[in-house]
Amino acid sequence: MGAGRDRGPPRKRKEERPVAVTPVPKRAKRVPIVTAVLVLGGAGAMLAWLAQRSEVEALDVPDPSTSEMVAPVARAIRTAREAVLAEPRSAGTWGALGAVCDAHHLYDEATLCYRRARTLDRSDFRWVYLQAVVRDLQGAPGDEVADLFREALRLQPGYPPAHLRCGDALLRQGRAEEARAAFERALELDPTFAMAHRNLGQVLLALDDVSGAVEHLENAARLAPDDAVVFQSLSQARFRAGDAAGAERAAREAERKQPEYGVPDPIRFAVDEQNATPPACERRARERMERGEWRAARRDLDWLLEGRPDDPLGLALRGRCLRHLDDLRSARADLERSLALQPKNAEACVDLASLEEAEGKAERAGELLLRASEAAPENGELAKRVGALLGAAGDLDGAVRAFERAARAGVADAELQCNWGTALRRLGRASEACEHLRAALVLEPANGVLHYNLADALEALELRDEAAEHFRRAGELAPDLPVAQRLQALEKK
Amino acid sequence: MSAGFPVIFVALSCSDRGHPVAAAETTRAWFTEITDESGLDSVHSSGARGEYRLPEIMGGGVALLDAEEDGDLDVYCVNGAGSSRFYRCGASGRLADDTEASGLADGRYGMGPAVGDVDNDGDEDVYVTHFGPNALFVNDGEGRFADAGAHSGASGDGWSTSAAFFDLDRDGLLDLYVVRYVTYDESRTCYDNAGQRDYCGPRVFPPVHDLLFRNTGAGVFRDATHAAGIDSVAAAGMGVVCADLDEDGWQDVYVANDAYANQLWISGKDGTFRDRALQLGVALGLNGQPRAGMGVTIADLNDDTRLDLFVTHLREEANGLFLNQGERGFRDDAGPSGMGPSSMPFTGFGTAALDFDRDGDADVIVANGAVVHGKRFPGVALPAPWDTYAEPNLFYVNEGNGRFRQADELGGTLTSRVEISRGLACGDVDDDGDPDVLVGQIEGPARLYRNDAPSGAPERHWLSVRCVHPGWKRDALGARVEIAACGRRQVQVLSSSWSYLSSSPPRAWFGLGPCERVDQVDVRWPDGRRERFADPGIDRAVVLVYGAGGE
Repeated sequence: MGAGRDRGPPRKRKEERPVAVTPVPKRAKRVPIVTAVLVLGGAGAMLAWLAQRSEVEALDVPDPSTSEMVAPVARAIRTAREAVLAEPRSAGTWGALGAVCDAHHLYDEATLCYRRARTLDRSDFRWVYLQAVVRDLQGAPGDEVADLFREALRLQPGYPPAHLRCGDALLRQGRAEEARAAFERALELDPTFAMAHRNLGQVLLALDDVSGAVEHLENAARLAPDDAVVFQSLSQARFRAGDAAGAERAAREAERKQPEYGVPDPIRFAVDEQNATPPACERRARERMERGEWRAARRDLDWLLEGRPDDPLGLALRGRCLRHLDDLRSARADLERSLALQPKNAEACVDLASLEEAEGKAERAGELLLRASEAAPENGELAKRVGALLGAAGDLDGAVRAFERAARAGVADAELQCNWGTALRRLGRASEACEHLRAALVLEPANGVLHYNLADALEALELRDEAAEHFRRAGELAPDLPVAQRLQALEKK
Repeated sequence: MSAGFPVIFVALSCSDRGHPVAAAETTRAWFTEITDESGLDSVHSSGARGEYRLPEIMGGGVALLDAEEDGDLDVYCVNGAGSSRFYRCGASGRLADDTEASGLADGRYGMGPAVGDVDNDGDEDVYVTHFGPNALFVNDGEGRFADAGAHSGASGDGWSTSAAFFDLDRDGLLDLYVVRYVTYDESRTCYDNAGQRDYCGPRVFPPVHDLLFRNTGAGVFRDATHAAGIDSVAAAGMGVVCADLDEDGWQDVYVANDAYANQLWISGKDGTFRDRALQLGVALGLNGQPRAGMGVTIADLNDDTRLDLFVTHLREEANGLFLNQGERGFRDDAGPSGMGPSSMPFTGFGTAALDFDRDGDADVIVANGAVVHGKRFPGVALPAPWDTYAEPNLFYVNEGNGRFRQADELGGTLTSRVEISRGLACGDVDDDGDPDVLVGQIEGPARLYRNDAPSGAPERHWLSVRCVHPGWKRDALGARVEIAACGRRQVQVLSSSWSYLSSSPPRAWFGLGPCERVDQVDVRWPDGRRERFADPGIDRAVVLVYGAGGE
């Protein structure tokens, strides 16, 4: 702009006679210069803004049609898009829009956004990594996908999930040796990464390194003992190794387990968090509820119900959240509405029963519990809860039946055995009670209440020495229990 | 039908006869649509009313068969809502709707057909799978069919998909394997990634085991599912092929499952089967995860004379190419083959691996169409909401040694149309010695494509083989045919059931390229017998008769 550049002495006006010129003070000189700078700077900024706007328009911010989408999804996309329009130079806003599109499988739009974000911030590995993942899902040419992963790993070489996904992409392209290297790198970073062991085992099998495959798949089996996919792969590897019996065992194990598909990847989790569809909201809500994150779960359920306001399951789950958040009035409203829409919604029945019981309405609670267990006879956890509530309400026979259902459905924890044993004891079936309480103690040997209850049952069977031993142990583990009185009573006998 | 089958060459036609082929033009489309001129006007109806009932998106099976044994291929299109349609090929080579007279006007919710001679009386019978009990239509010898009803013993129940006839016990009678999907509950609702209502996936419903029916004679079947051990595994089955995959002389069964591990039922030679898919490497993808298997076909795809398996999959899952490695089992080689990642944007169903250009190796067609909302491909002509399920088909040219090049530009409208394709069958409709293609759609017309790949003599010779058993009066389904020509060996298996919900005439089309002589044809018959037929000639269709060859 030339601002501040010395423009030489001022020109003489023609009518002036040359006179001796007194130098102008520096400060006086600065004023026009500064003014020029300000004017030019302002013009420059205006031009930059205009260029930016036209650049944004030229960049064509993705604008997927949201007319058919549920409200939360449409809103998420619109909000992210508006953020880009407001801050088109921000890699973060582009990346966020990319993530929202990615989460809803709008891969063309996601790719464009991640690419923009990369252009604006080449140092943030997330954008190139996410672009690699999405391009892989789109079936892009192998070299392009490999290059993107390589770029991501150059920026962030210490992120094991990226090595795993890179390996998966290479494997899909048939580049087995490169895939092997990627999985091995993931394991160097995290030797307990079960999925990397699993996938490395698979690729070693493809490369005819059978013993290596078996080794890594057995590692995976130790680290992820509930993953059916591991055992399926192990079955194949053992067969190839000539261990037919081992292959058969692994195949039987696989049949008893569930497959694990998700890669533990915080960056992809963050994308998944943007998914505002009802199924995703429900899934996240359940996971959060299991962890006791009731507020976060409630947010997911609010989204779910915004998209599906008459979803009885969504209402039931939110009712449970609200109950744990002590908003009992709202909880009741959701649960009652859920049951109005779906009278046999077992989850709603149980949660509403809890509310009723807390308010002293035992009969209504009992009706709801009965309805719940009839609606979901195969749900063992539900049956266990039903049994506990029935027992607390005094319906011991009902409680025992519910515990039996829970056991048939595969529930075998100490809580079930304890409650079951206790109910049987109260019904006068002390011998059966002992069996269950002993089973519970195997699982929780340091549980004072269990020792106490078992001692009580043993006393009923007149096995006084053994009873005394368990009373004493109960006293050591749970000093608040009335052990001393019970021991005195035993000695008197 | 005459009892004797001399080794003869026969002509098969149902359209133009002797279509002249111009000089090789490498950029000209290989497939020419002849739907309208052939007279085929069947349109599939799913009965959809916006409730997203899963069976609506899964049907569309088709068959090419010679119902009257007159040498002309007829067409059968199975419908969902509304009657299935049968088209009889007349003397002029044109198809005419003869549904009512044929007896194949099946008004139940159909999935797909399997064709085979169940009573060994010399004519083709048709088994149709349904959402509900299945039906066996028995041919009276004149190309008219009657529903055998419950008398067949092979009705089954639940939701069946693909089916295949094969001789499991080598008694000369065709037994029946019926693939089943899930126990469907229409009260379940599912959503796509935009939160819109959409079709559910199979994992939402309980899986079911398949069915196996043993033919007791005269087309009467007995349920042998439990005795065979088939009920030991429950999954969501879609495609099936039957062949002797472990080369022990007994027919095995491979089932492609949707979101579950595939099954390879290896014959125990005593009527029992054991699932060896896991151990033999054909159950899962390379990363050990089950995929959504839809259609399946069997062919030697890497020119090593072993039969390989090609399985089509869901979008975002590459199609699977399981190369047979003999005793070591199979290995998924889709990635390096060129047919892996390119298939990821699409959901594949029907498929064929045949030598369309007669150069000596099998090329691959994949019929695509989504099962959940997807992107709207350019050129789609279907109205909403079907427009977001429509996809273009894929065509791969085999470049030798197990490597394939995506060559959609050679497909003509076979690959340029954007529709919801499902079934795919192949047969020599115009009697020029190469396989033509019939494709079924969801909510769209069945389409017939004539193969016009550059193949005219003298550059590319060919040999078409049919194997028949005079005692059984039918095609020897499961026969393995191997030719030796110009120092190369090629192998194919004769089967009428492969692809997805479809049936094709059991023929082997061998492309010979410039080779001008076939030294011999070796056949391993379904009962294990091996025979050699010398010097069958070239550029002709031959019928090889059991017992007429040398051992």
